Amino acid sequence: MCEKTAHLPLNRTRRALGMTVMAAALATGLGLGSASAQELSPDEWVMVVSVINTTNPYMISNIEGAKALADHLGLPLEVVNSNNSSQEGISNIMAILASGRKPIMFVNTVSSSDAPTIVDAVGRAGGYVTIWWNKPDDYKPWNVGDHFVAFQKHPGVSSGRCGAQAIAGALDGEGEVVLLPGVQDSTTSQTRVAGFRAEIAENFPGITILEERPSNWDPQIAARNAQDLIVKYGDQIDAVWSADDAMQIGAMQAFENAGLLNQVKFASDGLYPKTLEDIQSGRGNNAIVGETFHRGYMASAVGLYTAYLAATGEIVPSELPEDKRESLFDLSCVTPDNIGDYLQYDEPGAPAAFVDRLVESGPWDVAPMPLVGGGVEVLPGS
Amino acid sequence: MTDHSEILMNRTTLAKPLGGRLSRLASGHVIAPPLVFAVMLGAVWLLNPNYLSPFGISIVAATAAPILLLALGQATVLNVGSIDLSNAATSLLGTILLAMILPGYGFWGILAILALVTVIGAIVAYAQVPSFALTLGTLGVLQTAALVTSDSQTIYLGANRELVSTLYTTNVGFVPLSFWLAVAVALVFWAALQFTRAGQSMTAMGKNETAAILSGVPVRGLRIAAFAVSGFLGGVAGLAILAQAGSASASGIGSALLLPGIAAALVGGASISGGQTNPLNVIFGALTVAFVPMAIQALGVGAQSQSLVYGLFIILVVALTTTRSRGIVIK
Amino acid sequence: MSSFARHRIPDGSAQSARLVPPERWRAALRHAPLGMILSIVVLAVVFTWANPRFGSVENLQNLLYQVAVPLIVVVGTTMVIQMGSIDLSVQGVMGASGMAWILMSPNSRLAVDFGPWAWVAALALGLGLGLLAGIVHARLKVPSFVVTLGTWYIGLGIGVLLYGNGMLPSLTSETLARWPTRLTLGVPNAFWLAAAALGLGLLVMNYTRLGRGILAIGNNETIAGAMGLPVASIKIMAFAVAGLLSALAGILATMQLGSGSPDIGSGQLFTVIPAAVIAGTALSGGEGGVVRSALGVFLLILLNNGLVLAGVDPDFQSGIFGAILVVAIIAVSWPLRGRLKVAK
Repeated sequence: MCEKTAHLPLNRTRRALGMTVMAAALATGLGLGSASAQELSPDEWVMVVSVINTTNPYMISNIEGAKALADHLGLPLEVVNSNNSSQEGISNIMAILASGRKPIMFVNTVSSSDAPTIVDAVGRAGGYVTIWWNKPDDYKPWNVGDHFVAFQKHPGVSSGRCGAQAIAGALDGEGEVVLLPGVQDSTTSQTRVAGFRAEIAENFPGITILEERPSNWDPQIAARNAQDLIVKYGDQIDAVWSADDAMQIGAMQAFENAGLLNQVKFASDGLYPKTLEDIQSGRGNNAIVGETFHRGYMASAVGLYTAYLAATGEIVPSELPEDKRESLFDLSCVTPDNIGDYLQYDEPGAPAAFVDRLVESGPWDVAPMPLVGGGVEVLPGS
Repeated sequence: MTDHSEILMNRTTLAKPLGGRLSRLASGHVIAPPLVFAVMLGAVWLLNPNYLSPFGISIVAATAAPILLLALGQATVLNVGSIDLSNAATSLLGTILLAMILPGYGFWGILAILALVTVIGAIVAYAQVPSFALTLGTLGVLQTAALVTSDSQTIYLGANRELVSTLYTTNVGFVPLSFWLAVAVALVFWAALQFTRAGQSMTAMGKNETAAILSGVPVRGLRIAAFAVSGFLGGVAGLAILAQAGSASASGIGSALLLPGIAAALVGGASISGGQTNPLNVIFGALTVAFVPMAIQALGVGAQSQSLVYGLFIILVVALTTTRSRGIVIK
Repeated sequence: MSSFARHRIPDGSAQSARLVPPERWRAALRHAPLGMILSIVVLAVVFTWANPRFGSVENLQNLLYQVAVPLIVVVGTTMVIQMGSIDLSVQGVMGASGMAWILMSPNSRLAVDFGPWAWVAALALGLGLGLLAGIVHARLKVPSFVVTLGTWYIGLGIGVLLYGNGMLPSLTSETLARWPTRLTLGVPNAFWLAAAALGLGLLVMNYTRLGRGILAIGNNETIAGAMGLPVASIKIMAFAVAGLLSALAGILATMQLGSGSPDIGSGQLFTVIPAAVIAGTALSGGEGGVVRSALGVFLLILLNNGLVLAGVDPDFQSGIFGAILVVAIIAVSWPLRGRLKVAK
């Protein structure tokens, strides 16, 4: 630009130009929250939200968040349903990429190993992607390129610890627990289980863990496993911790079928709508004692907005500190006592309200999930 | 060439002169697979030409490569009248093993794994038992082997990655090398089936096994060979998958290729009861199966309707390409 | 499927009626599912030794409860397999019918109660999907493998569409939710339903023309057709019945889980088909039977349950299943080897 102005005669036009340039530089330099550095055309760009399936409430929430953000920004949205299969998910993502538009993508990967393939394809399509929850630990965004804008998640270890504290509290420090992890090849599941076990080992020696039965995030498999555990241990079981509410729902059904629901305590992660209902109604003699709060719509909105900012040029990924590219966002512990604080996030219009706050304060500083850390979670005791 | 296997082949082939041969070539089931693929391509191009851009083509080909390799292995086994349900699991195990030893052993690792999967394939055929049931069992065993060897973790390729990823990153005419490799394999197979005694005997076995046995065709050995080929191609498919994914996992990409592989073989005109296989058409079968998700996307079908449309598509496509000569019993 | 012997060479198989009386006894004995029953007994003993809780009444009731859904499915699948075809669509039909049923019964999403019409609608959906598969297979001559793969996805798709974006539909009616677990004469209601389905299957296979037609087609379709059997109609009916039974299984599974899901059928295919195969229902058609397949299902569920109670690592479960299947199929087929045996 300087070169151009050198050729123009020194006059008001040139000064005006220079002032505009300075003003623009100041505006971008002031950081986020100002007008986008570059408006994205809906013909050229497309927002993509890829979820593991479309029947899990968390995933449905992911889609809602993406819709709210896409509406706010005026860009078209495509939804990718992986149908619980890495193959299908990647296939469908590729199909969208082949359609010729550049993607701004949020992916909730089926398996960690999906991440490199998807990121690579997005790069070749000239797009930007944020991955949530699962990726290979050694696969770092700053080693890959700007198109891999960020990897984001809520810490699993704190989730496990929340659940452990709630159960231990409800059992007064003495009792026997069974665990239902999720898909085994999932760092999400592994970190949560590690957090639970660490909390018990460090602070609640009176609690014994009877057995672990991975249930693939699936309510049916959890129900079957719970049934088998009930037969195996009978009323020895005092509590059940599941890595995710989907499995807890199945497990609770099995305990109810066996007539044991009132005697057993449950804790899990996610505060699904059904779980919320059960806590409020006091189902099973207040069976659910602990949960964690985070919402799918928040995750997808934050992830998509991060990628969006990279696409507009408002943030330059290679200039971001590592904790903003491999990020841990705040997770809240919920008990029947403080559940009232969280009801506002499920009211109609909550996703749109969240998106307004998000665009105003940026992806790393929006309530109720500010950035709290970064990097690979260290498993306690490892 | 008065080969005994020739006598067993369709009598019309021998009896008719060259003109008859040509008319047989032009018959429905030989033309159908490429035709169906071309129609689908054309329809999608009308909806959105971008799908046929260099990027789009390379995506289809990269997805089709492992499917094609598995389908070729499957077609070989189908040709002798059996079925291999475990070839995708073999391929998955191969991917994991490869990811584990590649950083340490490089090229020799690749050869070792290929040898291993070939042996697995051969063992499957050794007992003279119905292949559907047997390979269903080996499927379970191999799945567990995959889980156990990977310790339920994702194995991310660090060192020596370029040895395999070149298959994916090098393009010849917009299409990755892995696909051309698969096409080369298809050509080799086609030649083997047409011109070698072993190949013709396999086809004869598929058409009428009892008669083949009575004519002294080494049925047992050929069956073992067919399964060994399926195992070997499963390993090569594992290579192609690893090249694209850069990491291996028991639940990740490559763990759900069994049904697409079989569908690709069937769409490519392979008969499920044996004796009818054209590896060149299997290429189009694999391309078609790989292309269906894109066609669905181009149609603008919502995320939730995808399964429904996929089911309809599969039935339609195979209905159009399946062999319907008189007297053949379709099961 | 692939193992269709188009031309069966008489190999002294006991199915031939030209046997002298002593050989008839031996034949009957060979055909009785003794091996199955023996295996079940042996496994039961081993597992009770490994964990005494296995043999408790509670666990037996649990087993019957768990066996119910796959048992219903296997009746339909056996019929199709005996015809020489295969039915891959069970999981999809279960999902579609289960979703249809729960959305028409008192649930957390819609406060409706169509009572028995929910059942009718769901069963009709399954029947319809089965008919579709049968017609496309019999009339358009598409291999059953592919058609039922297609109807699997179609059923799954219908289930997903019915689920839509709404909240999880869970059963709000206590009576319905508790029905499968409630005991009648000491046995869970779920199992009574399965037993009824099994009885229906036995009736059809042994006393109706449909059943005899299925066996004839499985034995040798060309000859069956030449003898004047309406092959296409029989095929269509068989697939329709299988679809109906899958729908019933889907309804029961939904009741058991207490909520609707398009994936309610997950895992059934790879339980039911190995069960039928282990039981000796040959995939070439014409052999085996619904009772044998039922025993096969019982065996597999027992095995799974026993492994859990014995504390076996879940990773190894599919491996152990697979190994047992391999051993079983080799054991079953080994004595039947012959120089001219065509084993596909």
